[in-house]
Amino acid sequence: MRWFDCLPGCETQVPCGHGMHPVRWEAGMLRLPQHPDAEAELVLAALGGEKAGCVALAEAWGRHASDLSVLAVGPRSPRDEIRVGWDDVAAAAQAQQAGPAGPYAVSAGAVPGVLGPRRPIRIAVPPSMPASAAGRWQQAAREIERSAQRRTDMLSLLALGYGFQVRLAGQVAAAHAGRADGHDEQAAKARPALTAAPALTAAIAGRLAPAAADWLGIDADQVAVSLHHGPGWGTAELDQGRLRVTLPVSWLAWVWACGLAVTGGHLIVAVERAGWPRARVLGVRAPGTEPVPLEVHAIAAAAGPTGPAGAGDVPHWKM
Amino acid sequence: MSGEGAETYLRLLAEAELRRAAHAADGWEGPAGHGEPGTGTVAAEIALWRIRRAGRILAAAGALDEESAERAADDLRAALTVRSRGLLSRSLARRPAAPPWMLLASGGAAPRRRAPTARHAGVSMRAVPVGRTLQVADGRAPSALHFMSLVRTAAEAVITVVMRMHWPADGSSTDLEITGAGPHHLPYRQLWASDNRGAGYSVVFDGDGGTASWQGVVRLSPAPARGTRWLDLVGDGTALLRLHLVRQAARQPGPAVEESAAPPPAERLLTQEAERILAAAWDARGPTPDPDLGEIVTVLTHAGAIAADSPAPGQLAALYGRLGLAGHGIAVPAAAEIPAPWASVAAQREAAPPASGQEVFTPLAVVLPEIDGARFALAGLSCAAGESHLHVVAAGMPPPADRLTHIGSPGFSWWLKDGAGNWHVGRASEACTLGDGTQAFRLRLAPPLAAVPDTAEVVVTGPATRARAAVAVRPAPQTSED
Repeated sequence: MRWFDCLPGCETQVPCGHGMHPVRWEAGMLRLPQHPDAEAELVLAALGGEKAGCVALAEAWGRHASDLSVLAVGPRSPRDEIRVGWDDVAAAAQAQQAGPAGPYAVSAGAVPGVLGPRRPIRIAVPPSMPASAAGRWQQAAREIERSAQRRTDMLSLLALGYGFQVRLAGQVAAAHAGRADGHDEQAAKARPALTAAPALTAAIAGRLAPAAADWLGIDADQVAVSLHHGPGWGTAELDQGRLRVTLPVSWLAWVWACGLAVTGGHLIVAVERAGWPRARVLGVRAPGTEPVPLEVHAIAAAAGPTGPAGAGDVPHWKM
Repeated sequence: MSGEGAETYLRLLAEAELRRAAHAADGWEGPAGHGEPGTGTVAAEIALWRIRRAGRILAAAGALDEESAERAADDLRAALTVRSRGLLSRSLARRPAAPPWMLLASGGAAPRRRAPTARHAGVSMRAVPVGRTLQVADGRAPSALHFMSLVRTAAEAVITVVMRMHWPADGSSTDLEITGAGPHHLPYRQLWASDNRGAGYSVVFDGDGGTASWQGVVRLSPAPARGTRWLDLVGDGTALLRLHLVRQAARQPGPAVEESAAPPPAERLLTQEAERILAAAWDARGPTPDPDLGEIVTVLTHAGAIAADSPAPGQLAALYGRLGLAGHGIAVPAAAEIPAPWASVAAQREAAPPASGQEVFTPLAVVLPEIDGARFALAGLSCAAGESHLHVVAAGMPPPADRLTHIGSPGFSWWLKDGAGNWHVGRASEACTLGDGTQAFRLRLAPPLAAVPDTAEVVVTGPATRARAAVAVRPAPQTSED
């Protein structure tokens, strides 16, 4: 049973070369139907050939598959609209190829196209600069280049639409879940002093709060979240109008990313049997009560009048 | 208090701010056709500002490293930007630029909050009492130049000095008086020093002051070698004053010093605010409330950086009340009592001001043990023109650039207890930084000393350590030359 088993595949069109190509997500994988041998294309690109927009996008997906910033930036609910389009990606890519502003100006081949090939950037260092300062100069320029690449990556991934955004968020959460939830003991022991826990706690809080507001009709600011570690699903208690919830990081992937957060008037806290279009989940009817098993089924949902593009790619569930 | 807890608080706060900004989303784009920021854009800017402020507070309190605070703010900025066409357009119009820390850092990563390391551990620092006065009988700007102590590190040497002006009472020098006290009034075109071996030294004055007195240091270059017996101060080729450096060196024994742990950094932030308003209470303008204090206390308390039962916020609220200041914004009730040094300073303010008049320029030569990586030489105590100053030379303190990037971090705090048991808080002047990082500064004591004590208790509190030293204060030898 995998976290994405409750999610159907989805597809969108992305700029590639002089046209638009389909990109699909299926069973936890990003697929490029127009580029059956993407690895070979990457080798050619490394040798100086053009890199297809679809391939560059798949690379960006892979680079950010465990990036916590995806959770910090991405949508919190279907009503939370991200307003990034492919024109924005094109603008960011052009800025990236133009190089940084100010004293860190670089020399690079200007290449037209949204996700066209990148040429190695030569960092311009004033000839009179001492070696130590030149090192810092080059480091700063590289940092700017990384920052620009990161911005273009993130905009590209957001431009894919809501359906892909939540699937990437699920993948990021799943990547951290074993360690953060205490199920992966070796990883937990090896975790660095500064962990991902703050970002993961906030990621759950930001997504649970609007769901809990819908569930109980309370103010989203009255939802307090902490991480649940170890066995079991966690807790949900109402304390003087404040909902205190502990949930594992896996909730983000298995429940929220699959559109299950509130189903049939229950707060869904775990998935017992994953599947699409039918699944069995654990749902809490009211704070302070034990979760009960629920049989749920997915219904195709179109994006609402105020929903973001791609909202229909995340299933709605009913009991 | 772990950094993880503080970062969790900050990121949860960011989530709440993102929701608040989203509620104003109708105004994201601004009035049609005008390109002005809408209410949503303004809300986004406010949200970001709040998170940056909270991050700085937590970093200043040592509860969170600056890199984590910046990362949380950057994530919020990105989240706000991709939800607003206006912010997104503005962001895309900008070409990528170097992150600010790259312009400051010398290493390969964003600067982390530095632990108090012994960056000048083992630095050689010696102080020698000088205690000489040069009477300058210039007709229009008569003054006395009081040389107190010489402090020498491996590469630098300074003499602490006070210049006391004696302006004519008839107002005939008003045009000079309005330029303030200072060495620019000395009637010498060239001033230098020479030693007993015939070596010469350049002399540079560095300091600040008011109308009646100027406090600072004389920088000697090069630093006199060990074994130098005396320096002659020479003005326009005439020997003005001999400063003996050896025969008085053994006069002062090292002070008895007790060390203890400093209060937690978050509480020190509040203590620093108490010290600020106590010192300001002796300014002509009087103390003014810090409008951000309520926010600081709220952030520190909610993030767990200050324990829920900590007396510090209540004590600060009580001090504000004691000084008659409203609007501090601290939500907790005022404490029944405040720390004894605070109470002492407040009580002296309430009492009638002491009769002043005794002017003293005492050459201290006390080098304190290393405190959190810094060494301090107490190099003079002066009382003149209604002000008292403790003159300090320091090695190992963060350089000014570091202090700039660590806005709000509590530095070292200074207190002095006089012979009558009254406390005085020290407020540091801007430091003069020498080539090897040595810094010279003055601590203006509030309130000023009513009398010079035989012994003073000096309490220095750094990031982790508090040192309490009993310092013998001896009157300056009354040796002067015209």
